[in-house]
Amino acid sequence: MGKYHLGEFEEIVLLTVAILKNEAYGVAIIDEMESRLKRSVSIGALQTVLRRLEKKGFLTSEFGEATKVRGGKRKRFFSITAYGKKVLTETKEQRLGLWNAIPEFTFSLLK
Amino acid sequence: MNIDNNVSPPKWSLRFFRWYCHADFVEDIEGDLLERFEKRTNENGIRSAKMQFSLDVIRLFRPGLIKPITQIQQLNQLTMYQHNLKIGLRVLLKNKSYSLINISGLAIGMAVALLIGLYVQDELSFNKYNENYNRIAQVLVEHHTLSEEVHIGTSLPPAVGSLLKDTYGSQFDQVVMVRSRPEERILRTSQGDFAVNGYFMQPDGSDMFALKMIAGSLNGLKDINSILLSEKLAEKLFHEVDPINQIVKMNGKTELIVTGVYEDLPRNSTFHDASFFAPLDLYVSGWTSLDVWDNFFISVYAKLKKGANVESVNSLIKNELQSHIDGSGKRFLRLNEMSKWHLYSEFENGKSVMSERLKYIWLFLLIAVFVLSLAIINFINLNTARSERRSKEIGVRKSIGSLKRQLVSQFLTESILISFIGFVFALALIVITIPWFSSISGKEIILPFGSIWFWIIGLGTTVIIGLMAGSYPAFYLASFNPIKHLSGSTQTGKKGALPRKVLVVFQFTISIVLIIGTLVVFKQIQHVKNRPLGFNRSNLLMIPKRVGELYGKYDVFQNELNRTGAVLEIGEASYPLSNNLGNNDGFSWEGKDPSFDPSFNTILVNYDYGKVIDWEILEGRDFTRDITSDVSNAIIITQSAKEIMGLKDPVGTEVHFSRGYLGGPDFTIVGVVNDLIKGDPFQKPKPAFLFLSDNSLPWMFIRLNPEMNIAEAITKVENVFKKVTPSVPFDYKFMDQEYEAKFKSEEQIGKLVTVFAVLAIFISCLGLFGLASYLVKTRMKEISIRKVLGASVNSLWRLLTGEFIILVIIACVIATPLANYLLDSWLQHYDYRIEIGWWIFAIAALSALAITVFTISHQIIKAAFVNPVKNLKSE
Repeated sequence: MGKYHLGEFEEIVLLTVAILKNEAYGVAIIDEMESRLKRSVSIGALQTVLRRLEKKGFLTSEFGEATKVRGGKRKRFFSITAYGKKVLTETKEQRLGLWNAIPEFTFSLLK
Repeated sequence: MNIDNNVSPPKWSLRFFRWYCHADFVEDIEGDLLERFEKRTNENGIRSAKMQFSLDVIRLFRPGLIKPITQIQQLNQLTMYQHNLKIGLRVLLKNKSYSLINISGLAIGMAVALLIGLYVQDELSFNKYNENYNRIAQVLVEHHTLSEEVHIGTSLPPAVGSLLKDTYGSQFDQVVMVRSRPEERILRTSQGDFAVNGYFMQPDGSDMFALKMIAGSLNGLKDINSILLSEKLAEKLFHEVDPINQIVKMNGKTELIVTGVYEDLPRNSTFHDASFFAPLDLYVSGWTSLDVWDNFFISVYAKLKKGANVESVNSLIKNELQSHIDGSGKRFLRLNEMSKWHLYSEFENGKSVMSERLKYIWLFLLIAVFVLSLAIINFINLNTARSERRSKEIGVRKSIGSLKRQLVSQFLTESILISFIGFVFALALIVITIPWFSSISGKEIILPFGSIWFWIIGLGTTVIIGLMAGSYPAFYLASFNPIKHLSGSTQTGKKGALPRKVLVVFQFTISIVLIIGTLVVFKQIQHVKNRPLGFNRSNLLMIPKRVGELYGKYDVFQNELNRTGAVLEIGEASYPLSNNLGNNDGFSWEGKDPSFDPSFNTILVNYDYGKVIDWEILEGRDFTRDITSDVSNAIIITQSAKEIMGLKDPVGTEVHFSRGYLGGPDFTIVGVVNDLIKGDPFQKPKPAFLFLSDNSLPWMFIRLNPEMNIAEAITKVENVFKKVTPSVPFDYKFMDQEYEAKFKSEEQIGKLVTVFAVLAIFISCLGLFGLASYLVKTRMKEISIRKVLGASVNSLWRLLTGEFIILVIIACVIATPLANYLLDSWLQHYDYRIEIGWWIFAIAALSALAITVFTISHQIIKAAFVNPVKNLKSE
């Protein structure tokens, strides 16, 4: 496994950005996460993670066109990089590997 | 949707967010915030949305999102200053001659200001070496005469000191009596004889006056046969030998033991003229005591107890003198604190008046400010005049986005840079000139390189001067309209022309006032030097008879000296011709108003006095040996005495003297002579009575034969003294040198004012030179066209100098009444003074004009001779 360890929240943010594809900007990401996961997300938490992920190279971003809403401020759209995609896939495989390694009885017991 | 005012997010939160958020993120996060705010407003209402907004803003305050602490803006500013500095240096180097004019003007101005600052500092720190500075006071006597005048004196009878010491121990820590003036004594050691000045004082004085002992004891004057020596004198008297416990012979008879050596007192202290301190008991021993009330020869100093109030002590001691003495009028005591001795101890009718020294301090401070302002004016004038040169630069800077503020800071950087370079040169100038300045100001001034305050003040002033010099040009230049300047159709030089002219007039007004001042001061000194003194001062020797052996040998000296052929006359008197000591009141005569009790200078003289000093008898006769009753009965009065006594025909008038000690007590006036100017030659003559005495008197006068070479004559006189009194050192003074010495302080002032005047003119001319050369440069084409059309060099010269000459003439017109007023009030201090003639103003005006023409003509004539083709073919 690589040296990159994604935190739980980081992983969710990455996944959400991937889901939203070309529409992934701050408020949209929050809305998406809130509606899918039923958990509230603060702008501060999200933005910090977004910038960190961008700095690490998992995300890139670019400004959209200015519109009349939002006080005329432009949106910053995030998109996932190839590197980000790779890390996400790796994480998913690790998890699956772990799931698969669980013995049957424990599983049923938990059920 | 539109956000109207009601549904806008909380302003403060937004502002806070904008303030802390990293510049890269601020736009899109703000957008997100607003979007969420709008949404929430629609869903939950404005109030909750606002709350949520603020909460979001606070939650966004996280390390990853806020600005870095090392701000990017600061780095930018530093680069800007570096840029300013670089451009400043380039501008300096590009215009070498203008930079030179600016820097040298500022350097001279700053050097003058710094020197004056040091001078003032020295004056203000007078006596401050003494750690008891705040607690020491001198006892003054206020004499209220019958005619309602008040005289302030420092001489007191010694019994007052003894009384204060014994009675007022609760107010004073110490009371010390000191002989009121330094006494000259001959000190003899194995190194020879030395005539030196010193004070006689009580033992506590060494503590009160904070003598720093190098060797021996602070309490060294306990014994009557002891003496304390200054370091310098000890070195002179003993060279390598340890002076402690060595013997010094005073005036050839008293043997004193050296009990201590003290560090030389600083020059700016009251007793700095003393080379030794000896016990007061020694001074009075044999002729008086410290309990007499009727002889005023002592100064009394007191060290107040901690917390004692001067005013309340004053009221306690006020009447201590009056109750013990008689005499006309009333005499009250009061204290004068040490802090007032030097600058606040001149009195007029009992009231403290501004002292001469304090006036000179103000005068010099004023001159410092003026000289400095002249240099600053040069800077302003040259920079505004030359602004056209930089108008393109300013235009370009402004069009690419320079703010006015940035341009101003650019120009201020340049002027502060120049100011700093000027400061460095000023320091160099001071280092070079300080020995010379010390000698003409009569001070011991050193540059306090080690003092932090000196640097703080020096550098602080440098920055302030830079700002003062630079601010007008900076705002003036920065306000240019870029479009005008880039289109090239400008005459910026003209715009600032009026203020520039006003400043030039100001400069020349100051210079001309200083020229007139110099002329008047020297004229006045010369006038007084040539004053008729009532006697002939050339070739006149004065010999103080300090030693007993010289007395009682008058006839021997007279015979021996006459035989040498080197001497015309000799005579004797009780006082020298160089001071007005020896004054008495208590005279009465027929027709005198009983309440009028003037003081007269009273001198005992012998028969030959009149002949040797060569006085002029106006009425009556000289003393003569033919009339034996002359001795202790006849008096000769001076012209001013005759006037003050109100006598029409004084010869034969009887005068009565209430105190017995001059002979008499009844005298008859036998003659009137011209006033003898013995004291301050600037003041009116002191009325004098001359009494005939047939005793040996303490001063001998010798008139040398003018036909003989002076050195030869002196040698012959000295040989006679060696023969008659072999053990006595031959000590003499030339009367004319003594007289010259009285002009020392006036000549010091004269020299300083001259130097400042020369510097002021020099700085003004530097500025004028710069202005002229600049204006000629801008008018080169005009000059060339005029030449082509047939103007002569002469007419061109007249055209161009005319402008400046008008300015100088205006300056003359302003300066004349100003100088007249100032100098007239200066001259009022002197009774014997010149009238300020119109010719002084004429000379000053003409010389200012001549200097102006000389300064600018070089540039103008050079321009007028240039081949016009050269200037017209370009473009």
